[in-house]
Amino acid sequence: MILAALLALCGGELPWAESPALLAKATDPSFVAVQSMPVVLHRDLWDPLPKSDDAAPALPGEWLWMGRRVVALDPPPLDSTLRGSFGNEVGDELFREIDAVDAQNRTPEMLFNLATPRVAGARASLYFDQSDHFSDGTMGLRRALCGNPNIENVTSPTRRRAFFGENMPDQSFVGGALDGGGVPLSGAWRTGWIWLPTPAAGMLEGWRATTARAALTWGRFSWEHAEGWFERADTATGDLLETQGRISAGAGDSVLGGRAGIAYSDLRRHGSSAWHPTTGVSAELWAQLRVSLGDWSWSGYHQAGNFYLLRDTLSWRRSAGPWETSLELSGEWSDRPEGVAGFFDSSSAGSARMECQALEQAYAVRFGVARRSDAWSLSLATSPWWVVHPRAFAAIRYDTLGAGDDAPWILRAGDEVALPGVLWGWKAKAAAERALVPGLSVDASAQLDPVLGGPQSRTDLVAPLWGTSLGARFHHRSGLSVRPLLLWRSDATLRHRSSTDWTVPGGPDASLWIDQDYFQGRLTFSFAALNVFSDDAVETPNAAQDRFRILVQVVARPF
Amino acid sequence: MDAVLWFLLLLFGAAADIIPFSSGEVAVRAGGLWPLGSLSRHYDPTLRGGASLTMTHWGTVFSRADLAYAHLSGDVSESFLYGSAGFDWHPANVPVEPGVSLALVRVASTHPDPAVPRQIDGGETEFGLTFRTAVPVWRHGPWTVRLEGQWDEVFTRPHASAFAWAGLSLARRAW
Repeated sequence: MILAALLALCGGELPWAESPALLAKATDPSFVAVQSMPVVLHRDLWDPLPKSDDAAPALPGEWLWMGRRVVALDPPPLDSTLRGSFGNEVGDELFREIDAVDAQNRTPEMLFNLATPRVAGARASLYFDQSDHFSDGTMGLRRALCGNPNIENVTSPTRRRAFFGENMPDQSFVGGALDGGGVPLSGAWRTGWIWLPTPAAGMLEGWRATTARAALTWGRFSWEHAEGWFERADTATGDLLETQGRISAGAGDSVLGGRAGIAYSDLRRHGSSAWHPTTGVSAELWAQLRVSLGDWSWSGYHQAGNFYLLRDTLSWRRSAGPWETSLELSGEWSDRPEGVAGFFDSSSAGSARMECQALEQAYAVRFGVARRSDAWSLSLATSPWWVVHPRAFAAIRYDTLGAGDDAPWILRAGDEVALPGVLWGWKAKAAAERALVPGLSVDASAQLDPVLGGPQSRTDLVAPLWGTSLGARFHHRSGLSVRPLLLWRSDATLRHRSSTDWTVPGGPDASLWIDQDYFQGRLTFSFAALNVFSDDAVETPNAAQDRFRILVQVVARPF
Repeated sequence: MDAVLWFLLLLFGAAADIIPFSSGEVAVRAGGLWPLGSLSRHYDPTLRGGASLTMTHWGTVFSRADLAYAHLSGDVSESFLYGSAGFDWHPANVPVEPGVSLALVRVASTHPDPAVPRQIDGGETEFGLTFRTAVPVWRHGPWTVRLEGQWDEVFTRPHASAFAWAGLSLARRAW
């Protein structure tokens, strides 16, 4: 009971960061690396595929932008709060600028949200989101790609790459969302600027980006539609127009249910944007199904058309007193690289094409056991996994772009290939939480992710072999919550991003969250010190420095 | 181990009769601000004034928010805006009230020099920590006068920037 109350008080709301994906850097021992604010290399511990999240497929409710998942471009969800947050990479010079001016700058993060009360069930929200974090290290290249404009000249038409400041940040957006309430229509949009490397060649491109989505639900039927307008915001010219959507119908109850429909997308390219093909229309039939019978359940997602994706999971779960036991068998089949399918890029310095025809198959068996009581909880889980014909990039050559004071930007040319053989490994995780006194508990976890056989020396990513965490949760009846968390990861390896394998250094990391609630949670002040032990190292090729950040936030819930 | 747990229980769970934020005190404060270490070669001592809000939190611990302003002069001229939030401890039988806060400072050149462009020409913001202590020297009804001292440590590169402040505050219980 104590632990349950404590979790309800302290763990109900996730701690926050500049972006949801980046939050894993502070909370997940299996996190890999940050390249920039929009590009975070993260892989879930239980995912057998040796890929990072940016190559994940778009499932219902998700969108692909310029060929892959870029959450920063998704039109925002409705936010019912009044919210303001500010953060900074710690270490500006301020008073020290008199002694020596360093070219490197510590850059801010800002987010504001305004929401209306519900009127006849409808509600709207407006937001501004600009994060300059992880952007300073490549500022020289971004300015060079924009023709080195005089950014201090406010009358220059080339100055504007953000709504605030002169930093040319990775992303700067305003947006809004509308929920129709009694009307079965909702929608959202965002517009602003973003810098993204192309997924294959790695060419950095600046975009003026606008995305919008609308959803119409009518009984069991739904229609989700999204549009993306992207225009080059650097010295290149050209634009991309993307249309995508899903029309589906669902039915079912707690025993048997599902949703099926058709997904469609259309791409139109103009000018010198480095994307192939110039046009492309695709359509896939898909079905999402689930069956629950007693302790057993099965869920599946099947898609067929321009490319195939089949994902099935058979689960068994049984509770007996404080014990809970579970078993999962999962399989995934896909016929081409997810995310970059059909949208391979090229540039004057690099190109890439898809060479793999073999079906990639990933399988995993997961067994878990957990015991929960008032004072403590313990969980153990283990998972053998194997991937048949795993895909990886096969580089032909690497080139570099000069980037002023920045490190040279690396471009690559090559093919996406299916590796021969079966890659396999065995994962394991143990976690425990113990309540010490009312309002105070400690928790710890340890996990292993070894790759044991197959073409392991040729995969793009080798996630940390092991990771551990040690944390505490404290909650006081005055509304004060404190959550310190210490992580320790082993090294990770990124391949095929530069001419030599790149090691993402492991080591300890620490973060601290403090929240203070007022008026029964209607007003919350929050503080986060994230990745305190970051040592200003560059974690991946073409990346900015990894830096310790402090964020503060005020959230009001007046409606 | 038991001693540690009992200490934590006493520290965090004591004084159940104190209702959080059931009373509050507002104060104005003014005093001298001294740049410390190598900063003293570039900036002159100056005055800093501001206001604060202090509220009961738990037991003898109070939550506190501060806002203050100073104008720095010397090698360069800067506006120095300071805000912080943290905790004060008012022990029952000791006339000393220590406190600690997270600080956020905003610095901007008041006379930018085009020959030496600096990032602070457009204004820069950084976090820091504040350690302070106060001694009540006079009380009358809802009014309290305190003699206060404060150390501000701003998280700058390549070294932290430290300032010392000492002055008087006039506080009034607001509710």
